[in-house]
Amino acid sequence: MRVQPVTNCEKAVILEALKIGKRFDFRSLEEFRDVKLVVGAEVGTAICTIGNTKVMAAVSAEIAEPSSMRPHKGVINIDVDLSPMANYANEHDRLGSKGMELIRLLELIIRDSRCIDVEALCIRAGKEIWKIRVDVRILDEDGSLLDCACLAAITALQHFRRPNVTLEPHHTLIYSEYEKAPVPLNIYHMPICTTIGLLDKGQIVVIDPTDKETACLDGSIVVACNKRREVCALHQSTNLILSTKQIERCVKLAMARAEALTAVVSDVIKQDQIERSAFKRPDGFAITTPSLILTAGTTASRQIRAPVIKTEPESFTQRSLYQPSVILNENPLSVGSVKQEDVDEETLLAEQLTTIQNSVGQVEVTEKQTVAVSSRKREVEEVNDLLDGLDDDDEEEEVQTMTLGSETVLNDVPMEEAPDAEDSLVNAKKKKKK
Amino acid sequence: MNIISEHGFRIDGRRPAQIRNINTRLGLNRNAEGSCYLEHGNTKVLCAVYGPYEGKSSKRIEDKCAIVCQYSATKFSGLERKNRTRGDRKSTEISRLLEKAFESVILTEAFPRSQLDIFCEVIQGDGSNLAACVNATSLALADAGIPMKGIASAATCGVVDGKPIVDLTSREETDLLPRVTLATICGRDEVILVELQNRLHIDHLSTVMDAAKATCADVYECLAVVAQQHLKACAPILGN
Repeated sequence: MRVQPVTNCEKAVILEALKIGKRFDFRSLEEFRDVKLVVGAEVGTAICTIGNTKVMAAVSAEIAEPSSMRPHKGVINIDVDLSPMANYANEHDRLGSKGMELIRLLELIIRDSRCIDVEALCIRAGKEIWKIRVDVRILDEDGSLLDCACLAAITALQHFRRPNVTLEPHHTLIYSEYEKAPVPLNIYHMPICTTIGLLDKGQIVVIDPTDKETACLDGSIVVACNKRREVCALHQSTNLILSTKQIERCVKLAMARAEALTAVVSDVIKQDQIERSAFKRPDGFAITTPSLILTAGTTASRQIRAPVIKTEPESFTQRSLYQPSVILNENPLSVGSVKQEDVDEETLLAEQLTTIQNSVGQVEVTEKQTVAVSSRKREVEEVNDLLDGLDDDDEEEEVQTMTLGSETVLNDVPMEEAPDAEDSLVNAKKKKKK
Repeated sequence: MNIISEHGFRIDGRRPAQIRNINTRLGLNRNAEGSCYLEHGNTKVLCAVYGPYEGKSSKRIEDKCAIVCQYSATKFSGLERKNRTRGDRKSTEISRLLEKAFESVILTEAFPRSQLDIFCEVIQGDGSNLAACVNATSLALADAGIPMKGIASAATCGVVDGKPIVDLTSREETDLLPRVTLATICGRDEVILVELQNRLHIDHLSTVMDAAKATCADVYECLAVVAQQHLKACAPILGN
């Protein structure tokens, strides 16, 4: 796919804003974007994010045969993967001019500035060397691609550990990470790359330009520096005419950036080492996702648990009342019919009395009414629940539960609730007749 | 082996600020629009320019001339014989650098929708190959009559014990010597190419830049003399 061009209106607005000294992401001209560095759970992996540019770097090592010209030095290979995921203009498995420039500059910065001791990577001169491979994958692209890739690669190289090796007279022993601790690489210095955009023949300096700003600028210059105030690479990456004073000014701006980012890389590596030394499994890239939030399903399941807790004490009460029910079973069998008839007559009289008392109670005390009503409703509901359960059981079980229900009601509310119990008994008799 | 002896001379007998002899010949290739053969000491470069022609539609730019540069070194140019001379990463990088540098120099708006091919061949490399290629290309473009802002000249400069030495040879281009290749227009303070190898402390940067700029001015004097002599040699043929 083609690159979507920057429109003339957009270009004019961006250029006018840059000449005033403003940017569309509210930065000043000499301000960098935020850098986020995360090292992975696997040693030698790192993700670097500068603004919306995201680059992942992974380092691996294997034993290879050295070249005949340099038999006692290890090899560092850098591979860059510009996938269409980062920018849809990138073709799959093809680098293009941007990819070639990125690879060459990364090689210039990492390999040619000699930041890694390659002689320490030699196992046997002329026979066995370590070959370090740095894979850089561009995940998202929004300007300053080389800065982000260089920082990710440097962090991954700092984080990498190679297996421990012991030389015997005629063979080489390579230990796994469970037998002996792996060995870090010898890194002399950390080159930090900075892209500086230039406008109006170098009069205006735009630091850390985004993709849109890069398309509007005259050109850019790439400066790689380290903490010891050494210039590792200097590359005029577009057709631009500068003076030597402007180049020196850009180098001074990159120096301050290199010192700050070196401290960031050191802090990240040190913090990861502290976690690993405490035998804690490092979070790795998991901390890049936001923390888990409870979903609605889990809250719904908690609501379902609420009624289950209520049924438990009732079951205990049923079990505790089982033994008295055996004693009571004999009495109603012998005199059941006569007592029930007497109870019916008494209930009618009791109902009339309760109605009279309630009418008197309404006049005297207003507060008790509400409490009584609520308590009655609750108990009626409980009794109904019990009776609903009775329909499914056999006749004998019904008798037992009837007696249980009656006893509970009588024990709790002796006088006022009697007519309710008798009503329930009447309903039970009707069900038996049916 | 010291690069500068205690008396202030280099291995080949030069002072630190002296450049090697530049021998040039213009108009060697009959088929090319412009061609140049340049010897910078033992570094020998042949350059040919094929003039603005209607290029491929894929590389065509509507308002400018597209510049395509191809750099290669012969198999026998260095100490060891190389198997692959074209298409590797270093050659591609130098080609890109030359393209970017000369897009700044050539007035590309004068030739819209056309293409300009530059072919650089290093016959023998003895240090400062990139600077020699820039000088040879600049003279070849002048021979072809391409309108430019000026003749571009390039030079390398290194630092030994805090002192700059210019125009390095292959023996002096070691792995530990920081060096800068700088290209300017007409020897003025207009940098079109800057390339740094190895680490260089920032305190030496201004010294190196100033020395390289002065050396570019000296190289420009030599190239200007060559161009003027060539014009004078052609004048009687034209009947002036």
